[in-house]
Amino acid sequence: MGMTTKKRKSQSSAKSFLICGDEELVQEYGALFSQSEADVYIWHNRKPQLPKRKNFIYTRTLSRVPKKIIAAFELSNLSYERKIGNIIKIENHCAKESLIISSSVTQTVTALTAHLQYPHRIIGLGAFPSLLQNDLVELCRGPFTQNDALKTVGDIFFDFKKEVSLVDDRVGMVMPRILCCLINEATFALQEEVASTEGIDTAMKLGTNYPQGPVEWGEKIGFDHVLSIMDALYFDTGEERYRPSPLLRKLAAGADFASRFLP
Amino acid sequence: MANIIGVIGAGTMGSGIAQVAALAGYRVLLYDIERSALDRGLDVICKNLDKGVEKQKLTKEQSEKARQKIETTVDFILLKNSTTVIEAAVERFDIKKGLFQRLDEMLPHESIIATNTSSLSITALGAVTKRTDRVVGMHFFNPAHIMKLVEIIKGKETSHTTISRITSLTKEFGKTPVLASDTPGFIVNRVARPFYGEALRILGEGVSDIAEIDRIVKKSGGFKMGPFELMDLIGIDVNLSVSKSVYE
Ligand SMILES: NC(=O)c1ccc[n+]([C@@H]2O[C@H](COP(=O)([O-])OP(=O)(O)OC[C@H]3O[C@@H](n4cnc5c(N)ncnc54)[C@H](O)[C@@H]3O)[C@@H](O)[C@H]2O)c1
Repeated sequence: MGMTTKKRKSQSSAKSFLICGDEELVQEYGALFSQSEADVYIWHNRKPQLPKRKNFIYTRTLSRVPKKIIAAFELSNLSYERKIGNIIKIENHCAKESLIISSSVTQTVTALTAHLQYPHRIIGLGAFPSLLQNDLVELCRGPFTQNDALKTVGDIFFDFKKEVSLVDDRVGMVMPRILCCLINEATFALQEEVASTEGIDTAMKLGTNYPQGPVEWGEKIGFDHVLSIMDALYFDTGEERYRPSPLLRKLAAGADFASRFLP
Repeated sequence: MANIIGVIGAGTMGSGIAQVAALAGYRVLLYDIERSALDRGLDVICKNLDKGVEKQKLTKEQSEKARQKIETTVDFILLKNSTTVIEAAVERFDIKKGLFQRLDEMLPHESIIATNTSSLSITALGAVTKRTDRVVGMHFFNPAHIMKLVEIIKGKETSHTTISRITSLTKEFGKTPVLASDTPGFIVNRVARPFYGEALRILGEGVSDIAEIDRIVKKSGGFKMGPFELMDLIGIDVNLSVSKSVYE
């Protein structure tokens, strides 16, 4: 199931990319691309804070973006409408060879495929805040995704020294699903006053070696992002185990100032 | 009165706890119903102390001193001089109940009964004694001589004095105490449940396979071990019994 990272030739021809979507993810993927020589078009409403780079081109409209690009990274998890809007605009603007790499954490690639004229070039991506600092990225294919497209995406990440793992097209994919369920459970425990915020974080780091405590991790990710995954899983399955805690909902509503009212 | 710590049960957890207490300078009386369990427990302690010296975490003197602080017995009555008893016998309410009642009768008034239970209610265990304010959860993690966390669990009637005494003791043991309420799974076993549960679901739904899920969790999430590797290490059976207790 895994795609191994054998030595592959890195492509050196002129290439450009497009990045758009949720601010946090644009920020993280932008930072990743600051290691690259390629032209990177950052399509935004509000200019993200990124390191100053000559190869970054900020634009509020797609018209400035070349029609032929290697790939568009569409990184919206928080709003389905915005995501579909972005994808349709990208599809209308970009040549049909340009890949669309779309975050497929809150909905499946299959669901996105329904909106596309050329669904052979869409690849699902496990884009979720905080995960890009590590070494592996999850990918998934839609019903019509071509092998070549998948290979190109593998090569793009390989150039950034990231491994990829191909998983099945399911809401939450693997790591975002496990992580958000942990954070959600931690907020249930907080809400029931099982322990303090600090107590829970300390316990999980020292008692079971987690790299970060679930509450501090949730804060770093943004509780709105965590909620979007839980809502998507709950909607997808209708199962009680995915029900977001009321505290998570509240923390998500005030995601930008959650530290002020974390219990 | 000398400060003696009684440890009940010389299995996986009890032996680790005895070692930690001895290293902190306490006299330890390690009790088990089985002589063979005591021999095995003491053997494990000696090996772990040796390893500590090898890895230069301990000096030879510290290790020898700790070894000398530990006595073993199959005679329950000898526990009567303990200031604190840490119970780490098998995870069965009836057995712990019997132990608690006998301890309650023979221990000095101020002595504390602490239990390492993973899944039984501290309040319910306290209620079998007449010292409900001096019964507390002291939940170590396996391997107890290495893992830094101890969850301190306050039963409904556990007093503040008891909590603060056990908190200080935990710190003397070189561990980090975290206060938790008496709810199923306390903190770690409860919050960690989705780590295993979701991994099993993801596998069952065919989203990925065992080796890949472990790889993703380590390389994408930055976890030291994958959920399946951990389940192998802890034992599926222990995991099931903990999950059940949280569920029920
Ligand atoms: N193993 C773990 O990972 C872990 C972690 C945290 C807490 N705990 C808890 O610690 C306790 C002990 O678990 P363990 O894994 O060390 O078990 P274990 O089976 O390794 O050891 C239990 C010991 O208790 C002894 N024993 C049985 N009945 C007794 C009695 N009436 N009086 C005295 N000793 C008796 C047995 O002879 C055995 O040596 C349980 O309450 C368990 O829930 C276990």
